This record gives sequence, C-alpha cells and structure tokens, in this order.
Amino acid sequence: MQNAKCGMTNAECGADLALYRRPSVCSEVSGAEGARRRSPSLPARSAPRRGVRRLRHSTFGALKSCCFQHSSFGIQHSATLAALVLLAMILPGCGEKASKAEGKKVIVLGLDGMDPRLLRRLMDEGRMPTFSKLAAKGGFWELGTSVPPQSPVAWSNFIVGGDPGAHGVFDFIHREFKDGEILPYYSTNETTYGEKPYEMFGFYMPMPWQESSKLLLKRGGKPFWDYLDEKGVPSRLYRIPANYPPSESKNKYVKALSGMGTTDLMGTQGTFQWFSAEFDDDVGSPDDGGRAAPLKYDMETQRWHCKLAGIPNPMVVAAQGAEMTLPIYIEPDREESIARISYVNQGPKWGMDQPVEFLLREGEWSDWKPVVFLPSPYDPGGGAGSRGIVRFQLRKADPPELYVTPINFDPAYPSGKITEPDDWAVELAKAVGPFYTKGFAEDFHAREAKIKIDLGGYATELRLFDDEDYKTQTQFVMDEGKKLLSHALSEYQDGLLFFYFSSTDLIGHVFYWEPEPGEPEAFTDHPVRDDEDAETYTRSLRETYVQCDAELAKVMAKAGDDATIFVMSDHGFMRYKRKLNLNTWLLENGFITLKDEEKRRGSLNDLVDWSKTKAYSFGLNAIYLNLKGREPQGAVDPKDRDAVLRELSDKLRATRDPLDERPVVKTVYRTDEVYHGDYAPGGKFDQHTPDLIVGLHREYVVRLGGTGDLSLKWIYNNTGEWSADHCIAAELVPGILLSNRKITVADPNLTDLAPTILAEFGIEKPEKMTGRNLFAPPNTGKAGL
Amino acid sequence: MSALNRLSNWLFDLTYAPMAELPPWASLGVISAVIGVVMLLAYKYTSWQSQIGKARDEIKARMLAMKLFKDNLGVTLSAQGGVIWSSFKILLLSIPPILVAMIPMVPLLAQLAGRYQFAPLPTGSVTEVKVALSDAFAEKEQHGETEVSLEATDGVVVLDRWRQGDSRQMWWRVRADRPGMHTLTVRVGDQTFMKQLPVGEPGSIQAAISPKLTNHYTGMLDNTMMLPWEPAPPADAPVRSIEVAGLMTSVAPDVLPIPILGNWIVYFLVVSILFALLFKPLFNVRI
Repeated sequence: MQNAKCGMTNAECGADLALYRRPSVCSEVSGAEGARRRSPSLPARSAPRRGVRRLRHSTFGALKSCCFQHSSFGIQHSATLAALVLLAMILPGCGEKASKAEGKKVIVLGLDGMDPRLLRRLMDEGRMPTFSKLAAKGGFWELGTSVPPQSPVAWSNFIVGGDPGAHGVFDFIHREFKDGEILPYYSTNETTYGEKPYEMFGFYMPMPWQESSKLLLKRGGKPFWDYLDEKGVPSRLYRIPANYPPSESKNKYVKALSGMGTTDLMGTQGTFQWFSAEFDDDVGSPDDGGRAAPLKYDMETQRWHCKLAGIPNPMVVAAQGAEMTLPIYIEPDREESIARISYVNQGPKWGMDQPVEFLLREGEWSDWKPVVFLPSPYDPGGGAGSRGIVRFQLRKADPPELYVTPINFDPAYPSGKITEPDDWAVELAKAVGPFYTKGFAEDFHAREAKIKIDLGGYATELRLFDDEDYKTQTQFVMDEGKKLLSHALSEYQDGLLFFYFSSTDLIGHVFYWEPEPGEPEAFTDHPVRDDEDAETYTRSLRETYVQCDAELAKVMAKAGDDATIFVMSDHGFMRYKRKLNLNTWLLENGFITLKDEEKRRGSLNDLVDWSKTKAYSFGLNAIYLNLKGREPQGAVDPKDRDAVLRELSDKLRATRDPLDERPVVKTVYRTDEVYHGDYAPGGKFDQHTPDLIVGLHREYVVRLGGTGDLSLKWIYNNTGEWSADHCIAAELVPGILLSNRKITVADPNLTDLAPTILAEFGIEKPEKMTGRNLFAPPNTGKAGL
Repeated sequence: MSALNRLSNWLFDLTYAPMAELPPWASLGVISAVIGVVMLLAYKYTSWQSQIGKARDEIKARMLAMKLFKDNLGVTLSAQGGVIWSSFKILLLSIPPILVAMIPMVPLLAQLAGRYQFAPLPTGSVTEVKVALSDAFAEKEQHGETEVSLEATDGVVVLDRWRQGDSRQMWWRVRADRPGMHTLTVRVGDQTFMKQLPVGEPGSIQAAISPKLTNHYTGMLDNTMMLPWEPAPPADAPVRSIEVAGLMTSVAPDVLPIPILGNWIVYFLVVSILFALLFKPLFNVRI
C-alpha cells in the first residue's frame, strides 16, 4: 500500500506511517479545535457554527433584553425588535467585500501530475480539442518543476514563487528531533502538543490558562494570494494543495478550500476501514493505510455487526488514546444480494438519536453518510461532537464484507478548519452537497490493501480494491470536482480563480503505463497486470485527461476573451520498474554504520550507530549529513561537510543498476546550490533543510527513507500496483503549462506563475519571489511587471 | 377524528390557497403574523386581564421598592419574595389561555408542518420505501403464504426489495424520475394500502407532505391528528406503517436561506411573537 503520493508501499513505510497516524504528527484539527481534541475538556465544535452561534446569541440576547428586561414593552421596543430581526436577515448577505480587481480575471486550472508527453499525444489524436484551442491561442509549454519533483514541494513553489529555500517544504516527509530521536511528520502541517489538562474524577479538565495544542501550516513563505488580498483583489482557491490548515486572509478577500495535505477526521492521510465476516479478532491490519476488523453475527437480532473506529476519546482519562466507535449493523436479505446497513448517530445537537439506514446491493456504493463521534453523553461542544462523512461499499452481501472510506470532514459541519474563512465550507456544502475533504481523496491505499487470513487451514490472501473498484472510486472524486468547478464558475466574477484536480495524479500513479520516450506503444512488463489490462487501464487514465478537456471547456466558456487562463501541472509522470532503498545504499557505501550488523529491521533510531554515521536518507529524495551541531548525535564536523558531500555525490552518480549496468542516478542536487531563501542552507531557518536531493533516472524510484528497514536490497524490482511516479530528476518530469496568452520567457517554471499572476493584477514582483513574469516584454527578460 | 381532520384540511386549504404561489418565507410570514395577532386577542379574551395587570403592577412596585431601599435588607428580601410570588401568579393566570390556545394550535402546527417541514423527493433521486408488517402477516410472508409487493404510478420506478429476516420490515428502493404527486401502492395479498410520494423541487408541490403513515401511536397524540392528509392503515391492517425515507430530513428544510430563522418553526415563532408584541399596545393586552 502506498503512503500518500510518495509511491512507497505500506510495508516499506511501516513505522513512519504509524507515526503519521498519531494525532500528534498529523491532525486535521486546527488551533483551538486541536486543543479541544488533545485537551479533553475543551469542547470539540464546528468552527463555522461558532459564527452562527455568535449571531444567534447576539440577536437573541438583544431580543431577550427587549422582551424581558423591561416590564413595559412599547412600540419603540417593538420597532427595535423588528429592526434586529431584519438585521439578522440581512447580515448573512453582507460578507462579501467589494472587489478591487476592476473586472480583471485570472483563472488557473491546476491538474496535478498531468504529463506533457501524454497530453501532447492526446492533443495530436484530436481528443483534447479545448486544450488544442487554448494552445493555439497562446501556447503549450513544458513547465519546469521543483527539486525534488514531489507535489507538496512543487505546489509550494507555485504558491510562493520561489524554490524550496523560500518555503521550507523539501519532501513529503520531514523530520523533527525529539528526545534525541529523529521522527517524521507530514511536511506541510504539524500538530503541536498542548499542556496536559488536569485530571478530575476520571475526566480531563483543561483550564483556560493552559496552552492548547495547535495544528500548524508548516509551509513557510508568503503565498501570492496574500499580495492580492492586500490590494483588494478577490481570490477563490478550490482544493489548493500545501495549504492546510488554510492560511488566514487578513483583508478577507481570499476564500480557500484546502486540498492535498488535508487529513481525515482521524488526523491521518487516509485510513479506510475494511470489515469482513471472514476476518477474526486477530486479523491485524492490512499492509498500509487502513484497518481491518471482523463482522460478527448476532443470532438474536439476526444481523451482522462491526465497529467503525473514530477519533480518540478526549474526555475520559482512562480511555485516553482509546477510540470512540460507532456500531454498524448489516442485515442481508434472505435470498437476494442486498443488505440493509444501519447505525445510529448520537447527539444532543439534534435533540435525538439520528438513525441512518440504507440499502446496498452487492458491489454498490452508498452516497455520503454522516458519522458522529461524541466524547460523552454530556457533550460540552454543544452536541456537535466530531462529525464526519463516509461512503460505504457493500463488497459482499452474505456473508457480508464492507469497505468504508476514510472519515472525511463533513463540510456542512466541519470539525476542523478546512476553509478560509471557516464558514466557506458550509457555503460550499450547501451549494454542491457533501464532498471529499481529505487531501488524497483517491483511495490508493485500498487498491493495494491485502491481508492474509487462515481459511480452514489454508492461508489465503484477501484483496480489497481491484482496478475496477479503484476506477469507480476515483471517478467519484472526479465527478465531485466537476460539480465543485461548475459552482466555482457560477460564483466567479473577477479576481483570481484557482481550481485543482487531483485525479490526474492519483489515477496516474496506479494506471499510467505509457511507453517511455522512443519506445513503440506497448503495454508490456507491468508488475501486476497482463498486457491487455495494462493497456485497458492506461487508456482509462487517458479518459481522465479527456474529462479534463471538458472541464477546461467550461472554464473557457465562463472566462470570456479578456481573462488570462493558465492550465498547469506540478510535474509529469513516468512508469517505473525498479526501486531504490537509499539507506541501504548508504549502508553499503559506508555512510551509515549499524550498531549490530545482524539487526537491520526497526527504527533508524534503534539500528544506527550515529557516532559513526555520516549521512542518512529521510523522506523520498532527501539525504541529510549527520552534522555536528545540527543533528541530535552529529558525527560529521561542519568543516568536513563539503568533502563528504562531494564524496557522496560522486558515488551516487557512479551508481549502476546491477541488472543491466544502467546508471541509476541522473542528478545529485546540492541544496546550497539550488535553493535560495531563508530555508536554504545558511539561511535563517535551515535546521531541517536536507543537504542533497537525489534525482534518479527514468524507470527508477526511491522508496521512503527513514523507516529503518535496512534488510531490503538497495535496488529491487517493483511488484506493486503503484507503478508510475515522478519523484526522480526534476528535468525528466516537467509539468504542463498552457495559456491563452503567449509567454515571452524561455523555460517557464512553476516559480514563475506567482509573479505572473501578480503582474496581471498590476502588482510588482515581491522581493522574495525568484520567479519571473512570463508575459514580461522580451527585452526586459526577468522583469517583475 | 376523520371528520375533524377533514374540517382542518378544508379550513387550512382555504386559508392557504391565496398564498400558494408565494415563496415559503412570504406565505409562512403572513400566516405567522395573522396567527400571532389572533392568538394575542385570544389571550386577551380568555385570560383574567385585570389580575394579570395587577400582578404586573405589583412586580413593578416591588422592583421600585428594591431600587429605593437597596440598603434595607428586609425590604429588599421582602420585595424579591413578592416579585417571585407575582411572577408565579402570572404563570398560573397564563395556564387557562394557553390551554385554550392549544386546541387550535395542534392541528394548525400539523398543517404547517405538512407544508413547510418536508420537502418533496428531488427528481432523479433514489430513496427507500419502508413497510412494516404486522406480526401475523410477517410470518405468513416468511412462509410464502402471502405476497407483498409495491407498485408505483408512472414516473416512479421500483428498483429492488429487501426483507428483514423475520419479514417484519420490507423495504423497496424507488427512483423518482418525474416530478408530481405519485402514489405508491403496497399490496399484501388482496389488500392494498396507498401512500403519496411527492417528487419535485421544494415548494413545487401544493399539498401537505407526510413522510410516514402508521396505525400505531408514537406519543401522546394520535398520528391521524398530526398527519391528517392521508388515511393511515387501520389498526388491524397487515401493514403497520409505510414510510418514505427521503422526505424525512434530519433538519427541516430551510424556509429562509438564513441559519437563524431558516427553520420553519423558529421562523413561525419569531414572526408570530413579533406581531403579537407589535399589536399588544394597540389592543391593550397584558401578558
């Protein structure tokens, strides 16, 4: 199973993933909300509803004041009351601030991972007429991506108009030091612990003076929309990556829905739940990302039941860490392949229990269903509890097998901050209904999930999704995106509109099997599919691209002639057959020394003799020197830094695949050469900056470093469904850029878009942006405007 | 009861007819305002106004005493006691008019709920029709001695059926393809039971909507009183209840696109109270 978009299987991610699932490392809960989760006596409640509550309180407070504090209620007071009611009616419509964009429109359609070669092929075949039309108007270019070409890094480059030195996002996975150990966290956000609340009568009692836990956006730098905000230009950002929790809009001209990086309700990057009558109590977990649990039959009620796991109960001391659960019941029909699924959402919020009951045929998916986890019958959060939404798939009716998606935030009642402003999520939910709020909405974890069970003495491997299931599920995500885009366009007047589709990337990781440059079109040698299936599903990815063409048509129809349109992707794609374990390579080349040569499985913290270790890999492409003064147990003297880096780079470049002697590493980037800004080596915040970024050749990919599994070979064949990637040398996987205007700058790069967008609104390029204005007059070259 | 229901339906239909074309916020606003004023007058003529006025004056006097003699503990405590006693008297004096008002208010609220609480099923949507069978017929169905089926008028397609292990509950999924008021027919052996199924945009159906018909009591009030528009199955019928799932929303559809007043009953209460208070000085009513 793959972790996030890093391309690594679950078995490989191992300990890292366990850490990602810890609420301390990744949590969906922001600010005070996070505090409520970790500090149990603070109520969990929906932020937008707080606004509503405030309004209600203020209005009813005034009503109360008018009605009950004066014994003689005259016409004057009646008039006040009427005015207040009218005010309450009018107020909600007064949230919009007047645009100062003066009718100027810039629309950016972000298509994660759209590959220029595949796009060109489809355009040449005439299957992408709108893309062709746009390219004819302005142009179609390859867009330089980030170093390394990982989505959080690349989108951060786009957001701040600079390289990772400007924003401090270097990888999917970053490290932090705690108690002398190196621990991972998701690079763009992190939850900090608050003070431990007081304990009283078995309950946690946090006090107002105690510091609460916080969910922090770890992407540094100033996003380009902040400059627009300052000038009064409205920005609407739909599913913007690397912006969770959404950054604040000081002048309230920005509305943003967070995208990639947004966790599920559990605080993980995606935990599906898989229930089967064939599982027993000690079924264990699937390889990655999800959970498995048995379905049990109750003779008395004649139904199957299981427990849907939710968030840890923050109220009860004894149960801290224990999850709240929701009992789910399945009743198959006597004869037909259909079952009733039922459960009860409890909550004083609605004044009564809310039963949820529905029918599903075998193989069928439900629509979104609410799930509520209440910490206790007395809910200090006003009854909101933690509310999420899930979709069910009845995989088998009798005996049943059930898949439940990761628990997404319910945008209509968000338990965490997923939009800026808070109540925009509610507005969107009202307009388009519930939708995936989790960053990685396509459940690639489920595609790779497998579990070994014992069936009557025979060991059997059960799989969760097959290719068709994954295709169906990803289409749900795509369809929701289309609906949201239609809404976005209907609301759009002027200013900036950014809209993001993730499916081009996450379908690509599993279905992309395009021939490499120079190869004939053939779909052979896929690690898990036969040639026919490899071709079928590669073609289904092409269909996804074609769907994007229809979406672009909608955008162009709305935009009109004066708008500036960009269609862009953060990187391209390539298939791969071989995987590289950088830490094993470092071990075999003398940069890592083990405490015990025989012990190679476990955490790096446990395995490695840090006093003799010169460098280690963490994340995907990053290598860190074990530098004295920076690392907890540094061994490399800063004066030897250059020499060690040179040695390491030379050896990496000289590495050959033992299979056919092909070079494995194309480029080794020294971050002190390619990064610029406060987070670059030597900058103000360089403590967590890697020293080297490894850029592999095509057809190779790095497995996740830092897990400590050094028992794997340093290079081996890929045998997973995750068979395409982009985390290689940046120059090999450029993204796409199409615009209705001709650009004047050679070799456009992701970092160029931010200053270009600002220039479109007459804003001069900020000093900290290193990108260029793509439309600058040719003779000015790198001009800001 | 059915005669009363017919009367209630007729009266409300008559009142509602001129406003049928208005948006929900306007029609409910007018109804709420009129009811507020009528209830104010009803309160005036069914309550002991002079005694209420006296109690109010006593409260005012004692409040004044507390203000004037705030340094005198004895007077303050005595005045506080007097305020509480006078408030209690007002409470007691309010009971008769409230009891009188309840008589028209119960069917009135039921009628309003039918118009404003439930939305029709959106066109194209799929929902469940839930039928509960009596124990005797459930057993018959389980043993194949009787057939239970669901039919729908054109525009609604019956998709599939699910039966509980003991057949006490049978569900069908239906797809609403065409807007309009459709009829579902549950056939148990040779008996049939009807349920209306409204389909369309909110506000497009000019008739009261009920999500569930049942022949058993669920509270203090008979369901036939609370849901007066469709006949419920008789007490000895093989069908205990028929329910359409999609009509029963967890939060009633908003009458207004404003969170604070969106719910119809909150809107009704606010507007009716507001108009009652506005007209209170005019009609010289003491509350």
